[in-house]
Amino acid sequence: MLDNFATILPSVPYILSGALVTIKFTVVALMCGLPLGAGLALAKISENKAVNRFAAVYTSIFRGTPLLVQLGLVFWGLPEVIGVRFTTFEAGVLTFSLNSAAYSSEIIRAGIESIPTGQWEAAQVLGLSYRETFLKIILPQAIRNILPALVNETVDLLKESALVSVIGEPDLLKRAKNVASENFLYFEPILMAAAGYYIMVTIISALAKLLERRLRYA
Amino acid sequence: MLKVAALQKQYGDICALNDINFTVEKGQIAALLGPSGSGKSTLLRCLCRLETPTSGNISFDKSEISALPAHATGMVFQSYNLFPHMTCLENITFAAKRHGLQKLHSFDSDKKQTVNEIAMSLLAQFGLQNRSNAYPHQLSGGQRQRIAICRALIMNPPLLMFDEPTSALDPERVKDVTALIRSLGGKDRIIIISTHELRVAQLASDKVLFLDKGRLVESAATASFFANPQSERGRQFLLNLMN
Repeated sequence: MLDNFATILPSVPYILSGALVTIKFTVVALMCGLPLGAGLALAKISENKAVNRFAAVYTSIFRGTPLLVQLGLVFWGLPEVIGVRFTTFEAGVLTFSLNSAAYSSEIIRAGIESIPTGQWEAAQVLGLSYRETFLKIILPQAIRNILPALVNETVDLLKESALVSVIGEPDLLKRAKNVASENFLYFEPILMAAAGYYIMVTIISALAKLLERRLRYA
Repeated sequence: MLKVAALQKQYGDICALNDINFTVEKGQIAALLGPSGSGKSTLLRCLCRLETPTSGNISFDKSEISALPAHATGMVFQSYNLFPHMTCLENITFAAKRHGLQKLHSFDSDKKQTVNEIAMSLLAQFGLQNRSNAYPHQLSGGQRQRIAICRALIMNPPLLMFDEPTSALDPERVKDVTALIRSLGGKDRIIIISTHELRVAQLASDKVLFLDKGRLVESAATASFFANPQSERGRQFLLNLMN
């Protein structure tokens, strides 16, 4: 086995540079997915029935179908319909953002609803507007409550980004597979990819713990 | 003067308040007394504008209560509802600052003081001056209540309300709290307390408004209500709780 590791040693930088692709996918999808998720969460608590319904159907579709199928629809299916071909990066980011928005909207909605109505009422009696109440009273408390769940969502996103290897994006997993098929060695390169994911997830979790501690009421 | 006329509050088919009429004079402390479900909380919520009455009228000094600025009414909630992510000082001053009130008239002199100065003097008045930077969860129940009172008092509201002020406290503290509420009264202020505890009404109020099943059954001076209630339901309520 050590021999095998020695064989793939020259390819290690190639495999690990795939982590950058993975991180790029995760960060961009998160940056697009979170605001979209926050918008959907507001739609879910809105008093407008049509807006509620839209957000509910959206979430139900994206949670009710496999991510890989969604990716396939966007990358292979959509070009037939709209006549525009996405790059693997565009298709991946679009799919992950839309999918992540569905999950994070549920997290954010639950976070907002977890704040006792007494907080809204206290703010109302003090004459604060809906906007002020939401931004200064409710949201800061909700963010503390949902931070662990949002970190889980980020970790899921990072791990699920491995699916882009299926459409050919050279991420961590795809590069490991390339090295594997060149050398007819599967265990070592893929194990290396697994270690790469594990290290990234561990770093995210550690950063989240730090952030959580900082956000705790002194 | 606080005047409530023909007040009605309906939730679907349920009539929470039915034809409520009473007045409270400036300088008076009134207790809304009654069993659970009598409508006293709903009435208090109408007075602090958390609920809109189905019909009827609430006026304060001849203006509609809905037309008054927010700082005309102060409310101390049963569970205080302090903002947990803000320090005590921020809890007290946040709304005043948001309303753009940088300077307010201090309570006991003519000179203007900043919102923070007034908050600090209120804290000192309640013996909490060294807790201004503490967060609500670091305080005891009684201290939290006093912070909630400071928050309600910062804009010197002429109408101050308490919802069940003793329910979350040690029973031994009832006397302290009622004395505290008494000390907040003044010739220009009306205080309304919603309570189901006889001792609170007896010790803190000048006037009892006794409610049952959404109706105002009896309205009388506190001493006379406790000595000789005029309504059968009031008599029964006193008997049940005293024995």
